[in-house]
Amino acid sequence: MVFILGINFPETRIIQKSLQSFYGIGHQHSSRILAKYSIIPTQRLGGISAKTISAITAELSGMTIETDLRRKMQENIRRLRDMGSYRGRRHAMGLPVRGQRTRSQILTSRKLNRVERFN
Amino acid sequence: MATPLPLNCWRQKCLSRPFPSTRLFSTTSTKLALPVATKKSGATVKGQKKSARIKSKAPPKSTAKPPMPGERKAMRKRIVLSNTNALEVDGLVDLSREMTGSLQNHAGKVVGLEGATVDGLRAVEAFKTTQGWGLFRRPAVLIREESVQLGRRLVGVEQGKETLRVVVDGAKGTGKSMLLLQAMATAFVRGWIVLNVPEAQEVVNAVNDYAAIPGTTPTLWSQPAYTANWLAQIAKANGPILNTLKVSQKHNLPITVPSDTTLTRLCELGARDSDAAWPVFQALWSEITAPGRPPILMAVDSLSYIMDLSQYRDPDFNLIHSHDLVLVKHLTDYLSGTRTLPNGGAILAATSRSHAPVSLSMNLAITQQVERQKGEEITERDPYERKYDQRAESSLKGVEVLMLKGLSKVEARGLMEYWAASGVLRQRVDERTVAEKWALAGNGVVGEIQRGALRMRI
Amino acid sequence: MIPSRMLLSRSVWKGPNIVPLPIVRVAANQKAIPIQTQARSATILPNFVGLVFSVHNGKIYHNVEITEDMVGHKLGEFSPTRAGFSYKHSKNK
Repeated sequence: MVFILGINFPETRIIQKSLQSFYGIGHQHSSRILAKYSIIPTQRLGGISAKTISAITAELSGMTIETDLRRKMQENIRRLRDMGSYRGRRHAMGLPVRGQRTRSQILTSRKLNRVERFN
Repeated sequence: MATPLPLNCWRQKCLSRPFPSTRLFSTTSTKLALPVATKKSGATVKGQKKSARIKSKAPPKSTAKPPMPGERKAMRKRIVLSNTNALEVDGLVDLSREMTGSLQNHAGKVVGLEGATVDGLRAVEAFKTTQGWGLFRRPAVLIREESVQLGRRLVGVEQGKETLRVVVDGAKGTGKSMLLLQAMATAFVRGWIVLNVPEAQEVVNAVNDYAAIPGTTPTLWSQPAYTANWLAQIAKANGPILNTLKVSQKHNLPITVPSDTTLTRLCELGARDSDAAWPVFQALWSEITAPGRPPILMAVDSLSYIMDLSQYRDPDFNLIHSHDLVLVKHLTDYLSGTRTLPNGGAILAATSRSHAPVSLSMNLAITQQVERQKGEEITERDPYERKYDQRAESSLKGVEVLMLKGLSKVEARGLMEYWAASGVLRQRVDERTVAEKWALAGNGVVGEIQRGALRMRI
Repeated sequence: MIPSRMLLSRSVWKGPNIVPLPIVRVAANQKAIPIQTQARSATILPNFVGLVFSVHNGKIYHNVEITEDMVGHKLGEFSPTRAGFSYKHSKNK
């Protein structure tokens, strides 16, 4: 078992995949982190040293990810809402924000667009 | 019969296209049409449900064990070198040291490889799965015109202590990798040290770990695991020679090496500790290039992979150039002629024309060199093309190019007679069959002859 | 103000859309008169903060008091143009 940012990963897991399991880290960020520590993309967690793991953890703790990122996003939406802009209103109504049609197919915006957005 | 429609109907702005209701060319639709349902087939039995619900069966669960990790890859890479069902060929002489000096006497004939050579070749992974070794009783190779040429050059550089730099090129299936194998076989029987990179792709496609070498500008990168593996391969393949050689110099190594160690042992020590692999390789190299040591043959297959950017990334997320990988740099230094082998030897590189990426610079360098060798006008580089690689170009400057073409009919006949004697080819080998197979295989492309004669027996 | 907003929506060389508006500064004790405008695409500049604009939505004018958050947005964003849908029970049927 390997701890990254307080989360347990099995040693057989590919590092890039385990990094991408954090909210806010996708392909770009994970690839860049791997390149920074000279790790090949197919490397598994068991194959790298504890020193590198702790360096990666330190790197992640300096980034705006997970709760911090969620909070930041919620603040942004709340700001739009509070100043009464069109985008804020659309968020609050759970409708598409960027001028999409609303006659049909707005399931994604119904699910996601809200002031207290989580993902 | 209906009136004939105008042929160029759509040209006359006739928007409705002719509908061939009266003249059907195809009878398929009427044939495939469902038969008119009779009453009997539509009737239902009492108590039975009407709907045609088909019970879906659960797919049968496999009770076989899933393959272990790496098992499938091992199966894929498995090399079978003998076939007990194939006949032993009478009078098959083995490649020997004396023979390599006068290969022209065996031109157009097949010669066998003796056990020790086969062991060496197997250890350096010179045999490939696609070469059809599993069809014959034991490994044997055809001595073709180019083999004679290359063999003569190898003997020449051994005596003159020069460094031979050759790129083997040719169309797909012309035997480039096989010529490399023959050169390695020659080197083994002549007591050279052989280093082989069986597939350049594996060095650059970011599947082996890498690390920056501290204190190098521009930064060079080592590949600890690959180098360790390579050292093990070198030790295994060249065991008979390296066992007789001992460490004679002082080396600054991260591992302790006793003073009276054989070079095989040195390789094994490096192979065991991947972090020390590159320093150990450097130590090994300085040992085997010391005065009085045997000549060295280095071989690389699929050259174009190491003539471009690799798949590795540096900390700034830029792709690392292949020549910044220290192992590749080692090879290209000798290929470009910036370093030479003091005890003589050769670096051979074969291109791959089936699965390798296109390297414009490599192709241009090869074309130019071929033209230079023929004394023709030299092709300039395309001024509008941006994808040339300066470093690749300079690494191939002045390299000799051995361009493989199809076999001659005499060689093709020698090969097919060997197949017939092995019982693999069940055909009379006469002028007619040879000419037929030779012509069908694009004027004697050897891979195609084999495919046409052995794989596709129609 | 979000810098990327400016960068993504509009060429940098153009700068923000500055529209000459009839801004009249009044003394603190007097009541501010809303500045009536139809320039919905005018960018809100930092010196607008605290003013009240009366922004046209195509039909009527909405009063918008500019706060610090709004700087960098457009005036039109704060004057909705569409009525929300609501079901009206009709008696005439």
